[in-house]
Amino acid sequence: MSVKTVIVIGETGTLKACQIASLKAQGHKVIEFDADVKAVDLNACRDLIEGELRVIFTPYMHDEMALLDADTSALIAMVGKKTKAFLTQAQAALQLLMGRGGGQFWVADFDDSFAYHLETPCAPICAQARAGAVRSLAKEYSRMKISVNSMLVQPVSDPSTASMFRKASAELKSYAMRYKPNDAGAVADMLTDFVGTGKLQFSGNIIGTGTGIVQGHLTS
Amino acid sequence: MSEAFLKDRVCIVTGGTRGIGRAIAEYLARNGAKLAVTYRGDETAAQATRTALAETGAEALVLQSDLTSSEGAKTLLGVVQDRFGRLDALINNAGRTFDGAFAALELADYEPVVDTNLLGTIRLALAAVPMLRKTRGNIVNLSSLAAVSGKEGQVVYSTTKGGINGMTRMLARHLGTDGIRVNSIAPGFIRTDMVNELPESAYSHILDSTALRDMGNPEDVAKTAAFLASEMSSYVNGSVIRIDGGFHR
Repeated sequence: MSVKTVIVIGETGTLKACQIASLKAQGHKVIEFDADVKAVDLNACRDLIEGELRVIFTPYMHDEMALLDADTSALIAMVGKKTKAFLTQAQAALQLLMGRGGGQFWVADFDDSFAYHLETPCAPICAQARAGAVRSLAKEYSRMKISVNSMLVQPVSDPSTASMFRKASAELKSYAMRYKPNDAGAVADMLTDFVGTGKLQFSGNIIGTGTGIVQGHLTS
Repeated sequence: MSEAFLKDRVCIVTGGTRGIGRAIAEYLARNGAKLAVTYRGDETAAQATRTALAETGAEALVLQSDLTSSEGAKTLLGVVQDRFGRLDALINNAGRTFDGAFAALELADYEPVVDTNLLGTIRLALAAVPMLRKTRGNIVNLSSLAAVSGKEGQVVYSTTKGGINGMTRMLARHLGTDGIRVNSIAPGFIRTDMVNELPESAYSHILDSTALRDMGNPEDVAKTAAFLASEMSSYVNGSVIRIDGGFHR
């Protein structure tokens, strides 16, 4: 497996940290940006790229459900700001990928199906906006040898949210549906495996991760 | 469906003077609804809609509205409250697009698509909730097959419609205990004025990937919108319903 350059863009969170650690452990070159990085700054990293390029957007960490209860104006402003930021960053990322003759473009977001039971942050509007983008980007950029995909990740547990996960698991009475959180490191390692291959044989997929409840009709 | 199955239900149809929105407005009117129909700026289309709705005998208002502002949403809902005293269904249809090779687009050109399709839809839906709580009413959002199956050249549009699908799920979950249902419709290739101007070569490949081998008509979408706006869909909630003739590509 050859070493790749991986641009990682996203808000601070467990999955982003695990992803960067996983990529570095496999010897990939990681260029990290915050979620509010400007397109011009993404363009400026062009000279730092070596070998094949991958771009990963890590999950949104804001909580749309909480804003819906607390401040709807703030919710609308948040959705607008984050959606426009993603679109401009995606444009810059695609220009970089086209400049390298192709590559992989990934988005990871959290599945909101658990919001009935789990109070960890979820962002259904922004996450599904990115899923919509991925489906069209895949159709538009496959001919440029860019594979565009999304991982819809069952929420991952960390020590700060462990009690929320215990409560959610207890609420799901059915043994078969009993919920176990994904391990963030394992999810990150799986994406690192995809990133490492130069022979990815799919584009436009919304890949659900998780062993409990999975999202229904939107991904079918 | 029985005749006048929407009798006296008060419905808002945004972007209701052209294309799919106009078809929805007319279908609702023919089936007994009282209507507030909004438009952005095409006064000629608005006048034609007033005439068409008058011919149905329905009580209808056709109003110019800027739904990209909270003031515009408040004003519209205030007018509906004053005129009809209630709201039973909000059909969020208003939308626009700016298509092209995504990487080359300018934010200034596509920003209005986000502001109208996504933020405008969320804004009006949330503003209408207090009125809908009183009637245990419902919200119907117009999404797009572009968000479900993807469409080259329509990345921004499909992003906004994907966001609408996410909002539909979120609001359905949030408002279900109030008896408010929230659903989306994802139309595929529909015969509108814009499509009628295209040569067949521009869309024959789409029809070739459609099981029915034909594009849909605006009234096909209108029937589903009316179903969702009525009590006939009383256990349909948080769904994204495709109307695409069996498009699988």
